[in-house]
Amino acid sequence: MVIKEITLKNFRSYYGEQSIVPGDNLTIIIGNNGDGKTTFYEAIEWLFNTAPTVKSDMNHISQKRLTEMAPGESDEVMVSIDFDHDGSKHVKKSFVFKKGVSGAVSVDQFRFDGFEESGSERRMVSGRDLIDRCFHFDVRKYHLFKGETEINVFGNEDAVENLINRFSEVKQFVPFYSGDEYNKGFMEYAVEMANKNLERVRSEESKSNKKLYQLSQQLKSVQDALDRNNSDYRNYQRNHQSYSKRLEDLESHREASNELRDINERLKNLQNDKSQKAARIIDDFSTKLLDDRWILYGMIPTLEKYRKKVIDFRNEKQKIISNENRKEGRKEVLKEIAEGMMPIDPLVPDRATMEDMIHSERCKVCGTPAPKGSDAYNFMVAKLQQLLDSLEPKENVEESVFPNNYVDELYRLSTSVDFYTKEINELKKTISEEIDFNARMQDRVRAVQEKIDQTIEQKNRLLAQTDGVSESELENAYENISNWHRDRSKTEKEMERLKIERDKLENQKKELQDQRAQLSKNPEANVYAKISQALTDICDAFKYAQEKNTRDFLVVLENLSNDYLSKLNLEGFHGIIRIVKNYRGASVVLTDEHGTNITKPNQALLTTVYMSVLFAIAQLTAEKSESEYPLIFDAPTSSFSAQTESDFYNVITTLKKQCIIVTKSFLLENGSMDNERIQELNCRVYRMEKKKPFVATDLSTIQTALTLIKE
Amino acid sequence: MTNQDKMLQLVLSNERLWKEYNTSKRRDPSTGLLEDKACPFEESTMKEALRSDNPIVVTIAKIIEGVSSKQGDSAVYKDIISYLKSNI
Repeated sequence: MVIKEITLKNFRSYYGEQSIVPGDNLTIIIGNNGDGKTTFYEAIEWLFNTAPTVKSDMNHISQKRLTEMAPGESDEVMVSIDFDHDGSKHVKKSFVFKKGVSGAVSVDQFRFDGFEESGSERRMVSGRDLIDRCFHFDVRKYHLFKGETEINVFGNEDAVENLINRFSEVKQFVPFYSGDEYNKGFMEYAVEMANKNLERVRSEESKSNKKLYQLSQQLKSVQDALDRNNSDYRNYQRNHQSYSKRLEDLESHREASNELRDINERLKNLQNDKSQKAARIIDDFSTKLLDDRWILYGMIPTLEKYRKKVIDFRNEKQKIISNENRKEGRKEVLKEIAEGMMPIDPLVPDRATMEDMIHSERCKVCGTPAPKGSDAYNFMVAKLQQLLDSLEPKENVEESVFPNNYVDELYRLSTSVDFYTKEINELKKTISEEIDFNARMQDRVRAVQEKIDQTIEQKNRLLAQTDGVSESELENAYENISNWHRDRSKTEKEMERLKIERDKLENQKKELQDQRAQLSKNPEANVYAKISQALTDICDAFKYAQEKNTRDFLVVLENLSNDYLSKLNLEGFHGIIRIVKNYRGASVVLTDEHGTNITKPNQALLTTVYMSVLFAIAQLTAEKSESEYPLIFDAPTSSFSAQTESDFYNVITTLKKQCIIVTKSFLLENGSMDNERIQELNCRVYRMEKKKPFVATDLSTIQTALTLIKE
Repeated sequence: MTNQDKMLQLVLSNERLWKEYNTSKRRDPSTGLLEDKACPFEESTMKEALRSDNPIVVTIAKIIEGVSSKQGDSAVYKDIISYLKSNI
């Protein structure tokens, strides 16, 4: 579909008839605020709206035209479009308005006409049908956008479903599976119905089901009892086999068992004998060395040597003392002679007598009085003093040659050695006897040990001949044999009892199974259960198919959108578009190449992203329907800078896609056109403006004119 | 290829359906034992599916055909239940 001409007549500010002829690529219509940009866009929307005409359409009448009309005069409001879509076509939507005598306005003759050329003929058709056929609502809603904020196609929840139904590889999945409990698809309906039928059938069988349940419970308890019976039987069987084997082994090793017991008895006796003999061996000689003074055994030669030495010492000492005494006596005599002293007379009384005589002042030697101060008295005092002096230790007395009695001590010790010699000789005899005894005992222990070793060897030979029967089994076998016979017999009885019980349980089980089979003969529930399961599985398969289809489509749309984003944003950073499915349908997310979300991108980038998605959808539309459709925008680039906008439009020109954009861009601040930038554009440009003069407060003075300013 | 054929292929590509409704005995080369192996459905068009020996494939084809032709959910359901009762 390529628009060839758009004509507006008496549509609000478009007084009279105004037309534009868009180019095959981009066409820009420049208008300032209030010049009629949105009115132009809404006129096209009104034309494409195939819903029945409503009274509010009266609001579209040009006030200027209405004001100048005389009472009773009539005119029409009309919007038409000529386009190519499998041949030339024309659609015109109009109604007639009439001004009454009282000034009241009436409307009638609503028309929606279509014309299409077929060969050389021009055929009139329904305008509604023609629009629905050539520019269906499902296509239209991705091609007409008012304002920058409305170009996000994923703004509503149905967007993804609509896009998938329109453009995906497999369309119309929702009637099969919707995932919406309030608007179920067929599969959800079918599963629900199948489950209801299953419940109904089961409900009809409820009585037999109750009985079936009881039977199942009984069967279960019988089966449990059977399981226990089998388990017990197996245990008894194992025990019985074990007892039987043991008894058989015993029979085959009876002789060996007897021999082993003899051997073990002998071994026990020998071990006792050995222990007793070993206990008699004295092995603690170190204690006897000190406690029993065995250590003296080797001391006799040493003692003899000691005694001889001491005698030598003593003789030597006597000799030395004798010489010294002689020398000392001579010195004393010589000294007394030199000092004129004589030894005290032997008749001189002792000290006590003399003190008594002095005290009584009488000489008891001669019996005469010796009063104090007399010569006799003084004589006695002098004699006493002489005596006392002789008793005082003499200063400078030379030390004795042997001041200590060590030699005497040594001599006394040597005399005691004789006493010990006898004891040591007796000790020698004792030691000899005990060592001989130990040697004899050790010989006996060794002899017993040899016998033990021989017996153990005999025992090992015996055990090696008993084919793996352990020693304890052989040894204890006969002690336990009666127990084993008794246990085996008991086990046999238990097994017999369990067999009878099992037969009873098996019969009981069979009866219950027969009863259950009788009740379960109606297979309807089984069939419905299978149908219900099959439909559930098919429902899941439709669900997964739908999800896969959606995923595949979103990947295609995403890739195409990113192609357009690269083209539309040549210079700046633009990131990567990701279309993410969510509970509200889907959303467009911008990330960098590492997957990091770009939060809050600037409005110009966001607009470029949304427009890229739109171009991608437009391309998909063209591919699916094998026809191009025009994109019509009202002021989509408000947030763009002047240069960005120029670049953006020049890129769109190269996309070879018909695109009509109504914008206030390319106007200077004073409202005049920025001719320099306009000349840089490679597209057709129209100027839209209010004709002057007009009254700012009077709508009936407003008239929009459309002028081609760049071819 | 029609939209119905594409939808059929997408639904039949579900491996769980193979495992439940399209298995065949095959010998495992490592163990030498016969085992159930899931096989992809061979039908790729509605025409083939409606004539299939596999009741699940026929049921899916009947659903796609019935719902697409807007017979109404009840009519399609009766048709497939009637078919499944005799064939499942």
